[in-house]
Amino acid sequence: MPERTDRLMRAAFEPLRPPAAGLSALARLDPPGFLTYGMVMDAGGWESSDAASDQVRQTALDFGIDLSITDYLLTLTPEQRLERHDQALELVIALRQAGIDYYGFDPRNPPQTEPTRG
Amino acid sequence: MASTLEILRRLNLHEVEYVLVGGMAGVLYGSSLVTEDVDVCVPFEPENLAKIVSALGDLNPRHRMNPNHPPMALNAVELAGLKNLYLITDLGQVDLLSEISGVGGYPEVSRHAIAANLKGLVCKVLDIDSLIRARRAVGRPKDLQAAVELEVIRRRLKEHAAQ
Repeated sequence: MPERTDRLMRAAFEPLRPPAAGLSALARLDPPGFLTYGMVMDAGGWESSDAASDQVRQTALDFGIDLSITDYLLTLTPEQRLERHDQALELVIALRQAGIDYYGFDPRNPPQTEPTRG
Repeated sequence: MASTLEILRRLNLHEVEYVLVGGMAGVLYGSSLVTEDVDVCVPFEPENLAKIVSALGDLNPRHRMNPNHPPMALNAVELAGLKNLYLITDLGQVDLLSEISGVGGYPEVSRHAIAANLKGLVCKVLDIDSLIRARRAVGRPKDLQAAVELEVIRRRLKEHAAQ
Protein backbone atom coordinates (compact mmCIF):
# COMPACT_ATOMS: atom_id res chain seq x y z
CA MET A 1 0.00 0.00 0.00
CA PRO A 2 1.44 3.45 -0.87
CA GLU A 3 2.61 5.31 2.19
CA ARG A 4 0.24 8.23 1.70
CA THR A 5 -2.79 5.95 1.47
CA ASP A 6 -1.58 4.04 4.49
CA ARG A 7 -1.31 7.24 6.49
CA LEU A 8 -4.80 8.23 5.44
CA MET A 9 -6.15 4.90 6.59
CA ARG A 10 -4.48 5.39 9.94
CA ALA A 11 -5.91 8.84 10.23
CA ALA A 12 -9.41 7.86 9.26
CA PHE A 13 -10.31 6.53 12.65
CA GLU A 14 -7.87 8.33 14.84
CA PRO A 15 -8.85 11.37 16.82
CA LEU A 16 -6.99 14.49 15.83
CA ARG A 17 -6.20 15.18 19.42
CA PRO A 18 -5.03 12.71 22.05
CA PRO A 19 -8.17 11.08 23.49
CA ALA A 20 -8.78 10.24 27.10
CA ALA A 21 -6.63 7.41 28.31
CA GLY A 22 -7.77 3.92 27.63
CA LEU A 23 -9.66 4.60 24.43
CA SER A 24 -8.90 2.34 21.57
CA ALA A 25 -7.61 2.95 18.11
CA LEU A 26 -8.98 1.54 14.92
CA ALA A 27 -7.19 -0.62 12.50
CA ARG A 28 -6.93 -1.13 8.78
CA LEU A 29 -8.19 -4.52 7.74
CA ASP A 30 -5.76 -6.13 5.35
CA PRO A 31 -6.39 -9.50 3.80
CA PRO A 32 -3.88 -11.31 6.06
CA GLY A 33 -5.41 -9.90 9.23
CA PHE A 34 -5.54 -6.84 11.39
CA LEU A 35 -2.95 -4.14 11.64
CA THR A 36 -3.34 -1.96 14.68
CA TYR A 37 -2.23 1.62 14.68
CA GLY A 38 -1.66 3.99 17.52
CA MET A 39 -0.99 7.23 15.75
CA VAL A 40 -2.09 10.38 17.52
CA MET A 41 -2.35 13.57 15.56
CA ASP A 42 -2.08 17.14 16.69
CA ALA A 43 -5.18 19.25 16.85
CA GLY A 44 -5.59 22.23 14.64
CA GLY A 45 -8.34 24.27 13.08
CA TRP A 46 -9.26 23.99 9.45
CA GLU A 47 -6.30 25.18 7.46
CA SER A 48 -6.84 24.36 3.83
CA SER A 49 -3.63 23.75 1.99
CA ASP A 50 -4.75 23.89 -1.60
CA ALA A 51 -7.50 24.86 -3.98
CA ALA A 52 -9.11 21.42 -3.79
CA SER A 53 -9.44 21.74 -0.04
CA ASP A 54 -10.90 25.19 -0.42
CA GLN A 55 -13.46 23.81 -2.87
CA VAL A 56 -14.45 20.95 -0.55
CA ARG A 57 -14.72 23.37 2.35
CA GLN A 58 -16.82 25.85 0.36
CA THR A 59 -19.17 23.10 -0.84
CA ALA A 60 -19.67 22.01 2.77
CA LEU A 61 -20.40 25.56 3.83
CA ASP A 62 -22.90 25.89 0.97
CA PHE A 63 -24.65 22.80 2.34
CA GLY A 64 -24.84 24.48 5.73
CA ILE A 65 -22.38 22.14 7.37
CA ASP A 66 -20.83 23.60 10.50
CA LEU A 67 -17.15 22.84 10.14
CA SER A 68 -16.46 23.66 13.78
CA ILE A 69 -18.61 20.66 14.69
CA THR A 70 -16.71 18.55 12.18
CA ASP A 71 -13.44 19.62 13.76
CA TYR A 72 -14.78 18.89 17.22
CA LEU A 73 -16.00 15.43 16.22
CA LEU A 74 -12.60 14.61 14.78
CA THR A 75 -11.07 15.17 18.20
CA LEU A 76 -13.20 12.33 19.56
CA THR A 77 -12.54 8.65 19.31
CA PRO A 78 -14.95 6.60 17.18
CA GLU A 79 -16.69 5.15 20.23
CA GLN A 80 -17.09 8.63 21.68
CA ARG A 81 -18.62 9.73 18.37
CA LEU A 82 -20.98 6.77 18.52
CA GLU A 83 -22.01 7.45 22.11
CA ARG A 84 -22.56 11.12 21.33
CA HIS A 85 -24.68 10.17 18.33
CA ASP A 86 -26.81 7.73 20.32
CA GLN A 87 -27.43 10.40 22.96
CA ALA A 88 -28.54 12.80 20.22
CA LEU A 89 -30.79 10.10 18.79
CA GLU A 90 -32.35 9.56 22.20
CA LEU A 91 -33.18 13.28 22.27
CA VAL A 92 -34.66 13.13 18.76
CA ILE A 93 -36.85 10.17 19.75
CA ALA A 94 -37.99 11.93 22.94
CA LEU A 95 -38.83 15.14 21.07
CA ARG A 96 -40.69 13.18 18.42
CA GLN A 97 -42.72 11.41 21.10
CA ALA A 98 -43.47 14.77 22.73
CA GLY A 99 -44.83 15.97 19.38
CA ILE A 100 -47.03 12.90 19.05
CA ASP A 101 -48.29 13.37 22.61
CA TYR A 102 -49.05 17.04 21.93
CA TYR A 103 -50.81 16.65 18.58
CA GLY A 104 -52.33 13.25 19.21
CA PHE A 105 -50.75 11.98 16.00
CA ASP A 106 -47.35 11.89 14.36
CA PRO A 107 -47.00 15.34 12.76
CA ARG A 108 -44.64 13.82 10.19
CA ASN A 109 -47.48 11.61 9.03
CA PRO A 110 -50.75 13.40 9.80
CA PRO A 111 -54.03 11.53 9.38
CA GLN A 112 -55.70 11.99 6.02
CA THR A 113 -58.80 14.19 6.03
CA GLU A 114 -61.57 14.20 3.48
CA PRO A 115 -61.70 17.38 1.42
CA THR A 116 -64.54 19.67 2.45
CA ARG A 117 -67.40 19.69 -0.02
CA GLY A 118 -69.53 22.71 -0.34
CA MET B 1 -33.64 2.78 23.59
CA ALA B 2 -31.12 3.33 20.83
CA SER B 3 -27.95 1.39 21.38
CA THR B 4 -25.77 0.95 18.35
CA LEU B 5 -22.94 -0.62 20.30
CA GLU B 6 -25.26 -3.19 21.83
CA ILE B 7 -26.61 -4.15 18.40
CA LEU B 8 -23.07 -4.55 17.06
CA ARG B 9 -22.08 -6.48 20.16
CA ARG B 10 -24.91 -8.93 19.56
CA LEU B 11 -23.96 -9.39 15.92
CA ASN B 12 -20.38 -10.12 16.97
CA LEU B 13 -21.41 -12.42 19.78
CA HIS B 14 -23.34 -14.57 17.32
CA GLU B 15 -20.55 -14.32 14.74
CA VAL B 16 -22.75 -12.69 12.12
CA GLU B 17 -20.80 -11.76 9.02
CA TYR B 18 -21.47 -8.08 8.35
CA VAL B 19 -20.01 -4.72 7.38
CA LEU B 20 -21.31 -1.54 8.99
CA VAL B 21 -22.39 0.91 6.29
CA GLY B 22 -24.64 3.96 5.98
CA GLY B 23 -25.08 6.78 8.43
CA MET B 24 -23.71 4.98 11.44
CA ALA B 25 -20.49 4.23 9.58
CA GLY B 26 -20.37 7.94 8.79
CA VAL B 27 -20.76 8.72 12.50
CA LEU B 28 -17.68 6.63 13.23
CA TYR B 29 -15.71 8.74 10.75
CA GLY B 30 -16.94 11.95 12.35
CA SER B 31 -20.21 12.79 10.60
CA SER B 32 -22.52 15.02 12.62
CA LEU B 33 -25.70 13.68 11.01
CA VAL B 34 -28.08 11.78 13.25
CA THR B 35 -29.38 8.55 11.79
CA GLU B 36 -32.04 6.29 13.21
CA ASP B 37 -31.01 2.98 11.75
CA VAL B 38 -27.98 0.75 11.97
CA ASP B 39 -27.29 -0.31 8.38
CA VAL B 40 -25.25 -3.43 7.85
CA CYS B 41 -24.43 -5.24 4.64
CA VAL B 42 -24.67 -8.99 5.13
CA PRO B 43 -24.52 -12.09 2.97
CA PHE B 44 -28.08 -13.40 2.77
CA GLU B 45 -27.00 -16.99 3.09
CA PRO B 46 -28.76 -19.53 5.30
CA GLU B 47 -25.90 -19.89 7.78
CA ASN B 48 -25.53 -16.14 8.24
CA LEU B 49 -29.29 -15.61 8.39
CA ALA B 50 -29.51 -18.21 11.16
CA LYS B 51 -26.90 -16.24 13.11
CA ILE B 52 -28.86 -13.04 12.54
CA VAL B 53 -31.98 -14.72 13.91
CA SER B 54 -29.98 -15.78 16.98
CA ALA B 55 -28.55 -12.29 17.43
CA LEU B 56 -31.77 -10.32 17.07
CA GLY B 57 -34.51 -12.88 17.70
CA ASP B 58 -35.15 -11.93 21.32
CA LEU B 59 -35.29 -8.20 20.53
CA ASN B 60 -38.83 -8.39 19.18
CA PRO B 61 -37.74 -7.78 15.56
CA ARG B 62 -40.53 -6.55 13.30
CA HIS B 63 -40.68 -5.55 9.65
CA ARG B 64 -40.52 -1.76 9.69
CA MET B 65 -41.66 -1.08 6.13
CA ASN B 66 -44.93 -2.93 6.61
CA PRO B 67 -47.48 -0.61 8.29
CA ASN B 68 -48.58 -3.41 10.60
CA HIS B 69 -45.00 -4.17 11.65
CA PRO B 70 -45.39 -7.95 11.46
CA PRO B 71 -42.80 -9.92 13.42
CA MET B 72 -39.74 -11.16 11.58
CA ALA B 73 -39.79 -14.88 10.90
CA LEU B 74 -37.34 -16.49 13.28
CA ASN B 75 -36.46 -19.00 10.66
CA ALA B 76 -33.53 -18.60 8.31
CA VAL B 77 -35.24 -20.59 5.56
CA GLU B 78 -38.13 -18.12 5.38
CA LEU B 79 -35.71 -15.19 5.25
CA ALA B 80 -33.50 -16.69 2.58
CA GLY B 81 -35.52 -15.32 -0.35
CA LEU B 82 -35.26 -11.74 0.80
CA LYS B 83 -32.83 -9.17 -0.52
CA ASN B 84 -33.06 -6.72 2.36
CA LEU B 85 -34.52 -6.71 5.87
CA TYR B 86 -35.70 -3.44 7.39
CA LEU B 87 -36.32 -4.11 11.06
CA ILE B 88 -37.40 -2.30 14.15
CA THR B 89 -36.19 -3.92 17.36
CA ASP B 90 -36.22 -3.16 21.06
CA LEU B 91 -32.73 -1.68 20.59
CA GLY B 92 -33.60 0.45 17.58
CA GLN B 93 -33.82 0.13 13.84
CA VAL B 94 -31.59 -2.31 12.01
CA ASP B 95 -31.37 -2.58 8.24
CA LEU B 96 -29.78 -5.68 6.78
CA LEU B 97 -28.80 -5.11 3.17
CA SER B 98 -27.51 -7.58 0.61
CA GLU B 99 -25.85 -4.94 -1.54
CA ILE B 100 -24.83 -1.30 -1.41
CA SER B 101 -25.42 1.14 -4.27
CA GLY B 102 -22.20 2.27 -5.86
CA VAL B 103 -20.20 -0.48 -4.21
CA GLY B 104 -21.81 -3.86 -4.87
CA GLY B 105 -22.78 -7.02 -3.05
CA TYR B 106 -21.34 -8.29 0.20
CA PRO B 107 -18.05 -9.65 -1.23
CA GLU B 108 -17.25 -6.29 -2.78
CA VAL B 109 -18.38 -4.37 0.30
CA SER B 110 -16.23 -6.60 2.48
CA ARG B 111 -13.23 -5.93 0.25
CA HIS B 112 -13.68 -2.22 0.95
CA ALA B 113 -14.00 -2.62 4.71
CA ILE B 114 -11.66 -1.57 7.47
CA ALA B 115 -11.73 -2.82 11.03
CA ALA B 116 -12.94 -0.57 13.81
CA ASN B 117 -12.09 -1.31 17.41
CA LEU B 118 -14.83 0.12 19.61
CA LYS B 119 -13.97 -0.51 23.23
CA GLY B 120 -12.69 -3.92 22.28
CA LEU B 121 -15.57 -4.59 19.93
CA VAL B 122 -14.05 -5.09 16.51
CA CYS B 123 -16.36 -4.61 13.57
CA LYS B 124 -15.85 -4.13 9.88
CA VAL B 125 -16.79 -0.70 8.55
CA LEU B 126 -17.04 0.40 4.93
CA ASP B 127 -14.05 2.60 4.11
CA ILE B 128 -14.65 6.32 3.70
CA ASP B 129 -14.06 6.38 -0.06
CA SER B 130 -16.68 3.68 -0.64
CA LEU B 131 -19.05 5.32 1.81
CA ILE B 132 -18.86 8.55 -0.19
CA ARG B 133 -19.32 6.62 -3.43
CA ALA B 134 -22.40 4.87 -2.01
CA ARG B 135 -23.94 8.13 -0.86
CA ARG B 136 -23.41 9.74 -4.23
CA ALA B 137 -24.85 6.70 -6.00
CA VAL B 138 -28.08 6.90 -3.99
CA GLY B 139 -28.20 10.61 -4.70
CA ARG B 140 -31.05 11.84 -2.49
CA PRO B 141 -30.50 15.32 -1.02
CA LYS B 142 -29.70 13.89 2.40
CA ASP B 143 -27.22 11.46 0.84
CA LEU B 144 -25.50 14.26 -1.04
CA GLN B 145 -25.25 16.27 2.18
CA ALA B 146 -23.74 13.26 3.91
CA ALA B 147 -21.31 12.77 1.01
CA VAL B 148 -20.21 16.40 1.17
CA GLU B 149 -19.61 16.15 4.91
CA LEU B 150 -17.63 12.93 4.47
CA GLU B 151 -15.55 14.60 1.75
CA VAL B 152 -14.70 17.36 4.19
CA ILE B 153 -13.68 14.78 6.75
CA ARG B 154 -11.61 12.85 4.20
CA ARG B 155 -9.86 16.01 3.10
CA ARG B 156 -9.20 16.98 6.70
CA LEU B 157 -7.74 13.58 7.45
CA LYS B 158 -5.59 13.68 4.33
CA GLU B 159 -4.17 17.02 5.33
CA HIS B 160 -3.29 15.76 8.77
CA ALA B 161 -1.90 12.53 7.40
CA ALA B 162 0.34 14.53 5.08
CA GLN B 163 1.80 16.60 7.91
